Amino acid sequence: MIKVLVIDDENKTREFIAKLIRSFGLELEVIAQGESVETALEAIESNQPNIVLLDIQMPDGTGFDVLKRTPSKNFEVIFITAHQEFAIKAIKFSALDYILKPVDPEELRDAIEHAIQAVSEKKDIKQFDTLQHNLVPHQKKKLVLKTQESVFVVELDDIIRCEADKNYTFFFLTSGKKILVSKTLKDFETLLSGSHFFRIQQSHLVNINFVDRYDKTEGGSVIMKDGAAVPLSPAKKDLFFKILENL
Amino acid sequence: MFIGFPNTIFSQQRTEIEIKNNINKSKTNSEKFQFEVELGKFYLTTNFTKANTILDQLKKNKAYNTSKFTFKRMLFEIQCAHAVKDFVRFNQLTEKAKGQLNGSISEKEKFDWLIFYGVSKQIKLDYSGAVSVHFQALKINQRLRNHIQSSEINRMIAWDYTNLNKKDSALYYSNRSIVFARKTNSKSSILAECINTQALIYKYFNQIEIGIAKNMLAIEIIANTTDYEKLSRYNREIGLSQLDIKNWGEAEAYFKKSLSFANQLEDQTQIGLALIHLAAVELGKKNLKQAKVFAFQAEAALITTQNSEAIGDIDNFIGILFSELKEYKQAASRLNKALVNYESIGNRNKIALVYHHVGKVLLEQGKYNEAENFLNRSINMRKEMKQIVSIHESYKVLSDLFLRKGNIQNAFQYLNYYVLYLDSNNLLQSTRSIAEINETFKTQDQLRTINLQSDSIKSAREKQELTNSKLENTQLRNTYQLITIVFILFIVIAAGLILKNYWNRNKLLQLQKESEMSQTLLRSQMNPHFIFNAMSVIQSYIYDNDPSKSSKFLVNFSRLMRLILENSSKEFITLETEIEILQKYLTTQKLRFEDRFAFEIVVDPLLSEIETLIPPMITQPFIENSIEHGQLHTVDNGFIEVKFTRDEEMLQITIIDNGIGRKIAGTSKKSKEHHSMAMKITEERISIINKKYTSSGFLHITDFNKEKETGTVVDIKIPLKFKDQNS
Repeated sequence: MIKVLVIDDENKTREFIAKLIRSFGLELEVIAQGESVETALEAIESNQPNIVLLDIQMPDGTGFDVLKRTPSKNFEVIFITAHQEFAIKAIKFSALDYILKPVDPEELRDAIEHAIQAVSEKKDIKQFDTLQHNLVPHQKKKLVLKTQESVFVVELDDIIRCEADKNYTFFFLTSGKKILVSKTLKDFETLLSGSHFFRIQQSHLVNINFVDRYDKTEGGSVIMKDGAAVPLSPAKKDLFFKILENL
Repeated sequence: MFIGFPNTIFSQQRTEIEIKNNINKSKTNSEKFQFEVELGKFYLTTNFTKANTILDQLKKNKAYNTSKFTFKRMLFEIQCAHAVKDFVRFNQLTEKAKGQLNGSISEKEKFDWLIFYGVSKQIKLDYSGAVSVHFQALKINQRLRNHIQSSEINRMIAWDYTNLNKKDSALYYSNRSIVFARKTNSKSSILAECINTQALIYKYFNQIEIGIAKNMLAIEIIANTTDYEKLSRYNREIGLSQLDIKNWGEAEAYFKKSLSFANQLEDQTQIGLALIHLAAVELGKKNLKQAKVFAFQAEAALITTQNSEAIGDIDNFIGILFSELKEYKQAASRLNKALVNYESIGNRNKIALVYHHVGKVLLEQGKYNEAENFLNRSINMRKEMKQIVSIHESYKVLSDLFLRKGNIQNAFQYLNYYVLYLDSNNLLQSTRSIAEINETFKTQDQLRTINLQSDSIKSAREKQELTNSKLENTQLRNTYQLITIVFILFIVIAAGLILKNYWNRNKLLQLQKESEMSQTLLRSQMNPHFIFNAMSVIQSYIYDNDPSKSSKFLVNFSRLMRLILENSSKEFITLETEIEILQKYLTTQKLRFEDRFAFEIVVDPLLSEIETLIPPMITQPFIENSIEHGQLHTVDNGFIEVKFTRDEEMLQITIIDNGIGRKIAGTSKKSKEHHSMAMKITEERISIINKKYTSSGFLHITDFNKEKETGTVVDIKIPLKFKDQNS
């Protein structure tokens, strides 16, 4: 049976989340144990869980410290956090899962079901490494792109542009590679806001650093450095030029 | 209008039986004397006849015939004189006691006497004298530090300021008195009296609705006691306000209640006053016969008292009654008597009222010049006293007068004045509703409903005023309608301009405030992490099906949030509020960690007495450190203590915990970060304060257990600031 371990520094919340998971009626063994980095490490060691719900803020450190110090990361992690904008961003970049406190039972259920599915798949610790990398401030961020087959880690500076294809998104990289991810362009627009990305049209998100020129023909389009022509929405035109000027 | 007499019982209030038992158990004369006086004071609230008997006994008892008891007995006698409203005697006794002040008089006795002496100044309408006497008492009280006395002296000062037309000061001291009253053991009667005084203050400043609401609250507080004196007085006051707004039925009900309490008390003054007012209700209902019956009953009761004001009241009333009955000669003679009585006590408010009525009677008798003279005297007197509320009535009569004389020009002019003053009355009403809204937000649900009721009273009143003025003026209005409209337009435009000006100024103030706030953004912000975690705990209680715990937690938490929202942007808040915030914060943290640590907040009583001010939440980051990074919940007998003490001109704040200590916590990068953040913010705040007030505040952190290097002691020193630094 799949083992789920809940780690949180508040006894009350820990027990509550465990109880909530049990109430889903899934075939799981739920253990609530661990209220600090040290006790969490012990709990992981002795229980060998498949899924760990890990509180980020703990009195003697963070959930990330726990991960860093766990030798074999052969489990799925769902982070639990009350409020930690910076950390949430890092988690998202690493395509890892998290839930917010107070907990939405549906969100928790989705996360758990997702994790159960992932347990059977091959583990790749790239995501954890990326997370640790992204947690270091003032460092060039890396983005985890998960496809059906594998997990890619790309630097933001290697992404030329993204293009929507219904609920999927194509990533065009400097290496010439094209990666299809099962998330919407909107998701990435939100995630990459604050970086050098600009949505110039409904289906196109471009890395400003890779804009080569603007072509007036055919209603106006942006030519990227790899030669690709991307249509520019008339509504976004003014803003786009303003951003270019400020580069 | 007089406020309740100062309560001079030092300790908590006992019941009649308890006091009697104490008398019987007394071993020494002075003990016995003390309890007998206490019994006498008790009777002053329940039965005047019995109180007088006690006074007689005290005088006759030879054992008490030594200097040791004389002054104390005199204080009680003064109180008795005040109770029966024999102000002449009251003033005499107070003066006499003044001569006996010497070294053997205790501070407490001197304090009592100063309060009485201030009251005697109030009676003589020398309110600035009263204030200075009461401030002397306030000074003594800073040494005595007793909540009942603190409450009473603040209440007295509030009333002094009221009569000096200083509304803000009046309300400030009144609120202080309530704050102290809430701290006393014998909450009910002291608190009720403070709220009643506040009601009188609001009424004085023409915020009648709030006055009624406050008085209802005061009654609510003592509803189940035997304090007939207060019950009678409060009910009468509400009745009077209802009478003012011509709410006959309500007024009658309140006066009847007042009368029945006064009968129990055997207080002839109160009985007489209630009867006069009942008569006034009947007069209002044009039920002249019944009015007459009540009026003469009232006279019978009042004649036995020495109270010139009350006797003046009945003369005045019977005068009005005769005038209604068109018996102008008798009316004039009665009004004249009233005038004599009021003049003997120098009550200019009532003198102005009588002038107005005399004017009316003279008008009816066709003596236009004399009538005009009296009406103008009434108007001028009221203007001098800034009591403009009733002035419009006199203008109305003057307008009638000139109409009768055929002088349309003047009639119109006075009608305009009438409209103008009626209008200013309405303006007062709108400010009143604003105050009312504030009030509603501030106070409890109960008061809220009472306020709602008073709202309906208000609208009834407004309607009444409107129909009255409409009916009475149709005739003249038609002629001069156009001019009146222009006139009113002018007033509206002027009001608009004033409002706009006011609004602009407000905007400026707002800007100023904003810039100030951005400077203080550094100021403690509650960690959002804490907020969401707390909510998470509430959620878990909900799922546990523990509604009482979850709601307890939720309420505590939301109060905390509210306090923070209201206060965190201020530069300074009162220590009291700060402690409330800490209390709520620590309680929430405790609930989060399931009671696994204890806390205590210790405050030097002197600091609360002088209403110390403190920068909001200056201690919070350190308390958070102690709990979350000191891992108090993992330590056996974890505790945290927050202490506020005074060190000469500095406020000393100490936060002590027995957590894991800085050394171990310091091994974790994160708690180290948090710790230095707390230090940085606080150091910066202290340095801003140091700069602004050229003080030498500091922040200092050491270990609690120096050997084991566990626990933390945070010392913060900032300049001592308090609310009322000039007094």
